[in-house]
Amino acid sequence: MVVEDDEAIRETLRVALEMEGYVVFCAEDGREALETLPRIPRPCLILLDLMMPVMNGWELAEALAADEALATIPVVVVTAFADRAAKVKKARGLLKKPVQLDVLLGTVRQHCGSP
Amino acid sequence: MASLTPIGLEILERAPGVLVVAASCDGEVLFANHAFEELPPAGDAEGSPSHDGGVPQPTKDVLVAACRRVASSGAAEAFDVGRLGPAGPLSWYQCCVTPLRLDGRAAAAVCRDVTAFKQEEARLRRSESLLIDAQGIAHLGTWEWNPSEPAVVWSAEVYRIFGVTPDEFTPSYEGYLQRLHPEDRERVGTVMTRAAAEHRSFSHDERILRPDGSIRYLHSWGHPVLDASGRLVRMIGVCQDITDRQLAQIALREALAEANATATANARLYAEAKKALGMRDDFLSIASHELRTPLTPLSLQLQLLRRRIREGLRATDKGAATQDLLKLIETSDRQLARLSRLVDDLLDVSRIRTGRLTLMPGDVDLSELVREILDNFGPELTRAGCSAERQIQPHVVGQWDRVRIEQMVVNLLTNAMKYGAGKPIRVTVSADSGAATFQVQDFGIGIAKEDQPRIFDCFERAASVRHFGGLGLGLYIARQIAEHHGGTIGVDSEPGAGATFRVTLPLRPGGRRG
Repeated sequence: MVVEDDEAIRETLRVALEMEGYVVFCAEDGREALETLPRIPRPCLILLDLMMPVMNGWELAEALAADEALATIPVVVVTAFADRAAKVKKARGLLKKPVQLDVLLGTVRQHCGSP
Repeated sequence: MASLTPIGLEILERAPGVLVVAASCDGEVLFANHAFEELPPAGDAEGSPSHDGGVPQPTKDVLVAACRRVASSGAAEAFDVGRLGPAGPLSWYQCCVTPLRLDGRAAAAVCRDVTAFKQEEARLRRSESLLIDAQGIAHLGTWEWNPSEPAVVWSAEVYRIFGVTPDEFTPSYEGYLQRLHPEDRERVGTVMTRAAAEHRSFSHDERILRPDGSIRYLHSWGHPVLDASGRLVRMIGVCQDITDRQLAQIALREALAEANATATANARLYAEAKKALGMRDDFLSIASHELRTPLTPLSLQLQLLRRRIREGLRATDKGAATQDLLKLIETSDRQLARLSRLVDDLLDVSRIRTGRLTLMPGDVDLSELVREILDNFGPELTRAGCSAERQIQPHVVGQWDRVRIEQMVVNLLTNAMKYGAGKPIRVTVSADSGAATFQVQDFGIGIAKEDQPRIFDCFERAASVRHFGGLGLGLYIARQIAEHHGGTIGVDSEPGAGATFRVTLPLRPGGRRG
């Protein structure tokens, strides 16, 4: 699942992963992510942006960690703010924007295996 | 020689401290008492230096000579004889020489030993001189005041303190009050009359005016002197000139206040500088985020394109794959445009802050321009979920810089779409009496009253940084453009009820407002 408010980044990530063969769901902020998650097959990875309106990345990470069912889904932060990403609850990794394609695919493969 | 009765003789011999000698006008000693016999016959070679200018020494020949003189002249004499030492009088006598009524002419000298008195007198004089010196050194004067008499007694130092001489001024209670500083007169007068009436001591500061107009600061002490029945005899006291000390204190206080003010000003400047630095750091961190945002998809898109081209188009559905790639390129284009605008905004801010923003006015049809911009923004408006309502009065034409006006319109529109996403946007263009008005109204999150003045400042954002991206430059630039055209920009907003931004521009350049 890709949680990112910027439409261009969100769409590009989706296209890049779908071209590799993965199934991608999107949300444009934390709240939409929380609403969507129960309705979709459990994602193998959540790619999480930090700066979003309504509910930002830090807040979403807190909410996920507090939910028994969702807490076990790996979360990788995708952000330009490398220093503040350290404070994201239970994040398994960090991708710095602008994202390198091979690093992105490698991370996804690591958590989700081959498509 | 006349005879003396035994009693008479005893008296003359036994009287303490008395020298007696009687002699004829020939110098024949007729009688002398024992004390006289003890005197040295004549003065010693040093003479007797005296600060009175030559007092004869107590010697036999001086006294006998005096008797001879008086015996001859028949006129009595009175004089002092004495010997002075370095520390004061060694011996001193008061002498009276009287003619005697006997057969033949004779006189008798009777001298009284007043050495002790003279020594005491010298001691007192020395003591008084020390006291006067001390008063002068300490600028301390003593005074006496009997409240039932107008006259007051002052020591020399008090005259000096008051800047007058005993010839020009006779001290009195009234005179003293007159010389007080007008602001202190009432207070001091009350204290002193009460002290005299209630037999109390007092101690206070006061200011006096010298005849030349200068002010002296004094400290005065007063103390009542009572007689055995408790009645007030007089008030005695001391006053000291503390002007130097006071002036030094005042100067010190002023210097401290100035130092304080400087320190406060410096602290404030430091706080402002720190705040400015903090804002700049915030801005830099937001700016880097904002710039990386369009760069991210651009970079990914190019990497995707390269990957696809290298692998060749392996997709089963070549058409769909090509569509995907073409859409990618389109998105990349938009990101580039976005990046471009951001960089331009930053350059503009730098130009504005160094005073280099120059306008190139020309004929601009604002109605046409706004319509065109709204059309170009069609896809973005749809994506933001904002329907645009237009109320555009046709042919609103003015002398403006087209590029800058466009920039201002786009900034306001972008804000409306960002903060009022999913709600309609109302755009109005109108003109009346020499000015054009452009208005953008959104129905989004709105702006609190306390934030409204700030949002037009550089790098200011009323929305929380964590929720909304953006550099905070759009409104600042918009205001600069409006004001450089001689116009104004303002906002009307309530939190939760959206915001209306209104720009007025004079149709003709009239120079900057204000």
